[in-house]
Amino acid sequence: MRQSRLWLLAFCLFGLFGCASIPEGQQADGRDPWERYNRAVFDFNMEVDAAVVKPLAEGYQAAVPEVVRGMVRHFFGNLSDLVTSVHHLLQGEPTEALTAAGRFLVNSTLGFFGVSDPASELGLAKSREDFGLTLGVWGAESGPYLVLPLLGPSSVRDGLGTAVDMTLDPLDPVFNSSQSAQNTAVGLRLLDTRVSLLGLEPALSALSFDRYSAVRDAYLARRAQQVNPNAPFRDETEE
Amino acid sequence: MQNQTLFARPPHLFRLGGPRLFAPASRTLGGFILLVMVAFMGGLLWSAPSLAQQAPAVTPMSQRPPQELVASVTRDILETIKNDKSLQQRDLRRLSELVDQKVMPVVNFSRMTALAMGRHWRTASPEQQQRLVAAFRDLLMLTYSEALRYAPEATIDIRPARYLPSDEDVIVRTALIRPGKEPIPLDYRLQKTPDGWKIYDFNVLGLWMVEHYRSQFTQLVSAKGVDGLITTLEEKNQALRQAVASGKG
Repeated sequence: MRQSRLWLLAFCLFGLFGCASIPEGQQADGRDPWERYNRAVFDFNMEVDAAVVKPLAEGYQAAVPEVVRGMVRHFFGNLSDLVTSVHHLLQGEPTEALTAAGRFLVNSTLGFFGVSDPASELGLAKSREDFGLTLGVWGAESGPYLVLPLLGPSSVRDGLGTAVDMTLDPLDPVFNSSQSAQNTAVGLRLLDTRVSLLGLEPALSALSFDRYSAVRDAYLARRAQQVNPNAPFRDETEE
Repeated sequence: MQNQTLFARPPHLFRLGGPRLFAPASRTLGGFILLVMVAFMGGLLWSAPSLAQQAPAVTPMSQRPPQELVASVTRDILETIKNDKSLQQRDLRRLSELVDQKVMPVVNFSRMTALAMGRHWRTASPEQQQRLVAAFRDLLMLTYSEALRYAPEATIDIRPARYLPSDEDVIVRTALIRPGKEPIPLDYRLQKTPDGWKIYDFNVLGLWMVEHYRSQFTQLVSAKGVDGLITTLEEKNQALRQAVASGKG
């Protein structure tokens, strides 16, 4: 399972070297030297989303009651708390690691295997970390911006992180009974994520006149802030 | 509009709302970003917290120090939304009034627009500049209108100040807190003016709006000119209004 996911990723990466054109008036961005390739993958992702993922997500949203979707969301969120806890520890943040681990323990027991979230009511704050951020905290630069096929915005560092996170995905041991159970779980998690993004679309649309560069800028800004929340402000508003 | 008494508030009350002990289970990532946006609207409000008891008005809102200004404006906007069903259902006319009454007085919006236009601002005629300011205001308002839905369960945390009392251009850092969600960082840049502190840029999830829109606008102006940019903005606003109206049901 894990291996097939990585192969799919590799296949898409190397199969897609078509080039998209860069819109008129666009200024080259030093953080994005592979823009032509990235734009091609971005367009590909948008097409896959419009043709397959988004319709499925809308169907899921329409067919499944919010109560049930909430349970699904909390279940995956609970597993992510476990991963987040490990990353806090790797980043030298024991307090946050304990909070995330506490959330996992409380929600796995009181929360019936994670389908509800009593930990938040107890004041244990939710956070989310991944291996890309851990590498960043360790001092790795993000490297060039990279759009991953199917997975979306990333960077060289974060793409490596994603590969590591995929191989250590807690869904694998949880659903180790059968391949089809794993596939179902991965698919459901994808739908859950996509549904959560449906409501964002008007805002994203307003933020972007060139959607590609808006997504890129938002992604890079967010990741930089997550790695270093107290970075000095880079004043670019004056001429 | 409810009670809007002006009153001073001791600095130790900056943590608005405090930790959430009883939180309804809520949405995921998507909502989280939207929330952030809500927070923007929240942050820009200017009048006093409506939780006010009978504290007397002491300092005009805009004369307050930046952190206090952002804190009271934010709390006021969140309270207003919590008490107004039509706002929660994204009544755009109501939202527009709210923005004019509470947000615009503490924002130097023409400066914000000028900065977002960068070098193209000076090439625009006064009439073009006026239309740009109006269209940009509507664009930001419509962007964050979705966040109205999430405001009722949100609180704002004011993070420690990192500026000197003598500074005239400062950043106020806040985080929008929602139960069961990651906090959404939301920062404001303020400048001291003769009329008091004015916000002229804000940051959602690490993205500074002036910088972000400048790169989007520059691209459009190079391709279509200033008039082309104005048309594009107005069309975008029109499409967003329709999306909000149709998504209401």
